[in-house]
Amino acid sequence: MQLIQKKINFFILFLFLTPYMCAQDNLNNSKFKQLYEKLPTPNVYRTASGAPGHEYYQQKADYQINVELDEEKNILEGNEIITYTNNSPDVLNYLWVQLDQNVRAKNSHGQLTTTNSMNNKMSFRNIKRMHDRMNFDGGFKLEEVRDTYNNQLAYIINETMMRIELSKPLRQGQSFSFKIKYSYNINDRMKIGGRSGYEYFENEGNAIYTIAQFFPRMAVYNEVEGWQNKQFLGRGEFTLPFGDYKVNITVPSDHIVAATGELINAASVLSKNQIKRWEKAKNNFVDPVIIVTEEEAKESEKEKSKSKKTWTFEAKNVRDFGWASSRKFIWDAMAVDISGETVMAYSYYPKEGNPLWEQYSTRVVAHSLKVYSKYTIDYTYPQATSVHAKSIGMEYPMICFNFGRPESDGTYSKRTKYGMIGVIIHEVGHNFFPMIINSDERQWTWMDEGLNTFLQYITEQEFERNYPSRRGPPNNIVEYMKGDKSGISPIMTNSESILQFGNNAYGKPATALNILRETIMGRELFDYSFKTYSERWAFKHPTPADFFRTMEDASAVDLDWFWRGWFYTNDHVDISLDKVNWFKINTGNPEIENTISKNQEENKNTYVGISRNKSSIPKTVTEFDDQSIDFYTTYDPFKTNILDKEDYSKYMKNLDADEKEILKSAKNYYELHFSNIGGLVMPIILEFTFVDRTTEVIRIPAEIWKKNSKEVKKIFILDKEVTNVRLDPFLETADVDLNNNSWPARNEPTRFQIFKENDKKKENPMQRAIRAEEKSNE
Amino acid sequence: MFKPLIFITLPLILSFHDFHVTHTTLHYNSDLENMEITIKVAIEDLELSLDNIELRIGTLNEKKSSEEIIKNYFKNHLIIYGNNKIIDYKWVGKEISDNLHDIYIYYEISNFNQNDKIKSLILENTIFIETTHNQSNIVLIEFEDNDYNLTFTKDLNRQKIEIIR
Repeated sequence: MQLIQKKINFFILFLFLTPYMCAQDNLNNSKFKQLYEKLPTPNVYRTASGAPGHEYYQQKADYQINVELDEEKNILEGNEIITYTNNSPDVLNYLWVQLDQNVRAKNSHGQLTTTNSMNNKMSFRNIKRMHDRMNFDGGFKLEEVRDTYNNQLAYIINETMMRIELSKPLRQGQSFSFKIKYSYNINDRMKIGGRSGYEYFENEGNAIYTIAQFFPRMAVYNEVEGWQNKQFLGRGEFTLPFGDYKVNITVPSDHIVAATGELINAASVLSKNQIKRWEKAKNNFVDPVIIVTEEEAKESEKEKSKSKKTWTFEAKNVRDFGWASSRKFIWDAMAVDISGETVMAYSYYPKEGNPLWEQYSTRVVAHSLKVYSKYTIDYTYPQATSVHAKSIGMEYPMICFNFGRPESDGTYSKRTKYGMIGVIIHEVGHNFFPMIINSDERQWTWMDEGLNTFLQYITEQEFERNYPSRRGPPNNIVEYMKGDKSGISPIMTNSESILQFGNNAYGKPATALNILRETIMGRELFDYSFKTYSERWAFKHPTPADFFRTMEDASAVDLDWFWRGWFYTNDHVDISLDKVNWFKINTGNPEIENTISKNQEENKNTYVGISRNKSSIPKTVTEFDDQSIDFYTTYDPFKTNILDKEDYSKYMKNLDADEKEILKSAKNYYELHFSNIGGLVMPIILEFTFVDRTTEVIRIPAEIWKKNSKEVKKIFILDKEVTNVRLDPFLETADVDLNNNSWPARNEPTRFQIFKENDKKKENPMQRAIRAEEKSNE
Repeated sequence: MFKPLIFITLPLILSFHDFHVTHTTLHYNSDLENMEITIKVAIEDLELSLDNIELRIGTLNEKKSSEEIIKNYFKNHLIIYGNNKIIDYKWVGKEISDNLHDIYIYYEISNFNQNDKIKSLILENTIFIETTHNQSNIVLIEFEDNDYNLTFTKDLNRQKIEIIR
């Protein structure tokens, strides 16, 4: 075959200058380098596809707990029998038990390792809190630790962890039971804070108890950490094995108790009427039914019963247990249909929570269960409870404590309303991450908070159109990501060392997942993969690698670059559209091309002196003296002669039909130059606007950066002439600088400038009203 | 009146869910020669710091005095020196964020940089440090062609930058 080198000539129409950058060393620093070194080697417990391996195991911890609340002294007394089953192939010589209350003990490591400083301006509130915390006698007081034959067990307490010596080693498949008797002082949440404790209502002498971390709990043992006995310092939350619970809670007889699991002795703690209402609620899928009314609660508030009642709850396959108790509680309930199974949604709140709580809490619980079930797995626990607790949001299996209190006059701000709905969605959502998909919170806050905040955003948007969500949309994270890097840590940072906790572990991972779903993978691939992760790891213990690998394995999208950039670095997104070059094909036809060239020449910008001379010089020498004219005076470079035409027909003969077609097409070729300033590689999303004002969106995957992550060029073949190009027109990549995203260049106004512009135009409503009145009086 | 007391420095435990970060942007508008100041803070933290929950910021019942109180609070807690002299800034306005969580507060310094005279800036940022012990205040200065990123804490509440030209 004969190869003839044929060339098409282009002419360039626009040109802009751009700075040039280049960097090189002798290592593979590609942003697309696979994550092998970052992730653990796959094994029989966890596969390379991100699923549990064929020898995956997990330990089991079952609990029988009895606790009694002393309302006057705010002391909780308890005893428990823990049965621990070793399913690992390893022989265990000792067990580690978590004593989380010890974080509040005097001089605990949680207190000692919190850095702080003093200055000469501190508010009394702050000083008071400091005093209250230091003076509080917190922590578990252990009375005895014995085996089931009542033999004392040797143990040692290291801060929030207790090691129990086993008299004989515990082998695979064996169980060991032991008893602990203990008590602790319950903290006043309003004075010294805490995830659990009580809120005291001074005017009436009653309290709401929201109780958690109230019993010594087993630590997790697995092939990832061995014993996860990293101390509880306050930030990194909990890592817990699954098991079955039976809990007897003894409280003043006028209290109402909410808890993890199912109440199994309703007949001895509720009135006949209340049981009847509860039965009604079990068949009511539309509206909540009130089981304990506001009137009943107000009646209970008046006096304090001296007698006590014991409420018994059972829960299967949960990793923890929490409960709440108060004589102030109103209780409502409704049924929720989850794939044909009935789950109950409950809310417990004092009159101070109304009118908000009666209207929204249980409805939001029900809505959250439905949406989360759709995107993860069906909710399989029998109920989900939302308890009113001022100022906090905190999650336990089947029960969570949520803020949202109206003003004392019963009015409430928009912020209170949406804050409350948001926190209920979030905390109910924690039933899925980490209560069911049971990640290691002590190590990785983002694995539950980030994934949960992502689904919270989806659930909020399904609750109300344009729900004012805080976290999720990419442009909300821009401020954080472009900020001072010394104040930012990568998402893959241990929970205790995270800087800017909320943005790091909630906002950024939630945004990253949103970007994967909307922009990188698309909803179909993302949703399937996310659901696969949830199904694979429901009621198991996943690690970050299991999540990263599953998302790729189920979608065939290589995401190593995304995890590397978004999870392992502090880089941000700033892609710049530096330059646009416009080319049109030179047809080679001298008649056409000469006309174009002539037009271009005539339309060129001309020096002002030349234009002025046109009128100020009536005639030049060559114009009035024929004798001064020669060939060059009249030569027209744009005129076509016979030789030009012959050359053209020779050129055409060499071309085949397809090539002739290209020549005829009259397409516009746009060469765009991009540079990556922020460091994160991301897809390039472009919106072209044409002379006829129509637009076209072109989406290029992030792999465009695979050979050069600093700058790339790309040609676009378009029918129409372009007037305008915008990069990331739908704000989906969290690009921190929009001022380098447009051609022709344009500066996006800042928030300040928009505010000032709008503010100038409008008078405030009061001024307008006064002016209107003046006018009508005229 | 503040009475000086002698304190022994002792640690506190962390309270739950207190992610205390504020963001301030100083953007130099070269067309108008104005320094445009945008401060973004959580409404909850602001109310706590003003020891006056009753302001009801961002609600229909917002107290009339709230603007004056907010105005003064930030004037005392964000102090800007140009060439070692305090620069006064003027109130532009405030607005609530779309997600209802934060409040944006706007100030402006007119004729900020006549004839490139600003050689250095000192910022003192003590926003909320009296109320929360783990407060971080992040400041981004966009001045001429350079960005300056700073993080302020209780221990580092005064920082100086030399202007790069």
